This record gives sequence, C-alpha cells and structure tokens, in this order.
Amino acid sequence: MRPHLEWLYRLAYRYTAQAQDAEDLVQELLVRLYRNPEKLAELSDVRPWLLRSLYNLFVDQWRHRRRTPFGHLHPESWDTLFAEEGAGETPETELQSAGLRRLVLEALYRVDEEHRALLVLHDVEGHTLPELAETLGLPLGTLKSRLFRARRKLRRQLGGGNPLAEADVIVAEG
Amino acid sequence: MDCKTVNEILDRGGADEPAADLRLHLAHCTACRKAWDAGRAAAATLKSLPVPPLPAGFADRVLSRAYAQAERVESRRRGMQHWSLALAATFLLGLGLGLFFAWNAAAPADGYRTLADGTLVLAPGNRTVVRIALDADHAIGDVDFMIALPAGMELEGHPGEREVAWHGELKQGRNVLGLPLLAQAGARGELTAELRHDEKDSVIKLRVVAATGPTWWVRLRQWAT
Repeated sequence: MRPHLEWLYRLAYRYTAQAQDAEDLVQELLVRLYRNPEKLAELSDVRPWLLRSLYNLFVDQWRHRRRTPFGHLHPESWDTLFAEEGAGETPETELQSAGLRRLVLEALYRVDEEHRALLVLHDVEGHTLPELAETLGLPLGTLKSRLFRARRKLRRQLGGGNPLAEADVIVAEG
Repeated sequence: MDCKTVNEILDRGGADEPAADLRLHLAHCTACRKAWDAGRAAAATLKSLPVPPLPAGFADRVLSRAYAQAERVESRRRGMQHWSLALAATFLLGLGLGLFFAWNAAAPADGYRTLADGTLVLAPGNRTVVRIALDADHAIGDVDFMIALPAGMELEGHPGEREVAWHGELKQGRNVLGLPLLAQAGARGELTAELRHDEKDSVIKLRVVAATGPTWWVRLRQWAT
C-alpha cells in the first residue's frame, strides 16, 4: 500500500482541504482495507478500487462525520500551498495567480461534497468521464449531468464575475 | 448564439477554441465575455492547483494507526461471533434510531420473564439470551455498538467486563441482537444498549434483576431493597 499513499493523500486533501482531515480519511480507508485483505489480493490493479473506495468513503459517509464548512477551513494550510507555488513567476503574476487560486479554492470548498469530489477528480486530477464512470461504477449520463451541476455550482460560488479582477482586489488588501 | 447557451457551454467545461458564433456573441456581450473569461480562468486554475505536500512521517503513522484500529475492530468482531449475532438497525432520518427491546415472556427456554413495569427478571446462574430487535429502513455500514451492564452481570465470552463495544454493520429490515447474559443472584440494575452512527446516538435502557421465585416475591424483594 505504501506506494499509493502519497497519491491517496493528495486526493483526500483535495476533497477535504485540510491536512488532518485528509490523513484521517486515508487512515479510515486503510482500516477498511486491512479488514478486507482478500479484496486486495484479487485485484490486478488496485488504484481504481482505491479511488472508488476513497470517493465513496468521502461522499457517502465521511462527510457526515467531519463537516468542514468554509468557515472552519484552515487558511494557513492554503498559505503553505501558495508559498510553494509561484517559483519562476514574476512577483506581480505570482500575486495574481495566488489570489486567483485562493478564490477558486474557496469557491470549490463551498460546493457540496458530492459535486466537489467530482470536480476534483475531473477538473483537477484530469480523469475523463468515461474513466470515472467505469471506476466509480456510475452511469456516464449521471456523471455528465452531475459534473454539469458541479460546474454551475462552482461558477455560482465564484459569483459569476471575473475572478481575476477580484483576485487583484484581495491581493491589494493583503 | 444567446447568453443561455454561453452559460451552458461554460457548465459543460467551455471550449478551448470557441466556435465562430460564440466568438461573435462574446465580442458583443460584455456580461458573457466576463463570464467566459472567469469560467476559463477558473477551469485553468483548477487544472494547476498546487499539490499538497505530504506531512512528515505520514506513511508510517497512517499505516500503523490503521493496522491498530483494524485489529481492535477485528478483535471485537471475533468476540461477537459466538453470540450468533444477527443485527441491524433502522436510522430514522431526523428522528434518530428506531430501536426497541423485544423479549418473549412466554419463552421459557430463554429463562427470563418480565414484571409489569418492564423489568426483566433473569434466573441467576443460567445463561439467558436477551434479544434486542432493531429495525432499519436501509443498510448502514458503520455502526458502533456498546452494551453496558450492571454489577454482577456479564456477557458470555467477556468475563468481568461490564462494558462491551464493537463495530458492525446493519442490514435493511428487522435484525435481532442476542445478548447471552450471565447474572449472579441478587444482581440488578440497568442494561444499556447504545448505538452510534453518523454522530447520532441512540440509547435504550432496560432494568434487569437476577432473582428466583414467583413474580410477587421478586417484586417484593425489589421494593424492599
């Protein structure tokens, strides 16, 4: 399992936006795995199964235990992320892209878990809808309409305006 | 091309190369152009979100904790196997857990009976199976169960333990949890069954007394003590 942990953590972090929650989510997945070792043995490629299990765990069960409304997120963890980004950018573009990322992240984590998870898998991680349909065991049409709704929700959270312009304002205030 | 169509294109993920009619609309509609730019910028940002750094010691920590937790769960599960456990519960959304004790006073094989006030009377020294019926409107994967017993009582297979907890699953419909109780003469108090799922608790308490003799005699002794 060790080779998959970094990837699992990255996914979990994308879902939850918090380091501790991401760690807890991965740990819970591993607990289930330990209790069902025969499942691992019968899989030729474990990654799709892990992706599906983590998705289901987050969307169906875990979200009820750890509610992370936007107000409870830890912006300092995002600051860590932003601090590591921007290498090679000019100070001006760095500030602009960091502000935009913050806006998009804030909007993303105001989207409900089910739609957020799909946005993470498709728009952030780059999985295609047919891939996800097969991996998650969901009809392609269902995923399409769900992704459509997810994007609409995200755009609503972004206010429908131009996030680039708003990012500039936030950076200026900071 | 109209504004509604532009919005729908954006919700489908936009297009890398806008078609001619879309380009024409964007050139004349300020609101759509702003929405288009914003949507494209957001999509590009999502694709380039930074990768969170892996916390130090993450792999060792999470593997060891998960293993320890799985062991605890498995240990509890093994402890429950010989109880011929068949259980499930119903979580009535918004109302908590639909749970009740069910026992059959006319089942002498179980060796217990009930008083008018609902107190369960056990025969001391005998193994008595108390059944808890749980109705579930849907299957539930993660449920924590805890049974707490009064002094002088224990569950078969768990000598000296007054609290037994385990993790389990519930199937849809009626499920029955059989608790094999062993009670010393004179033991009495409350048997508590607690179920926890999704941060919701449901607790049922049942008065139990281990005594012999006719019902009126048991009641009299209860009253006297």
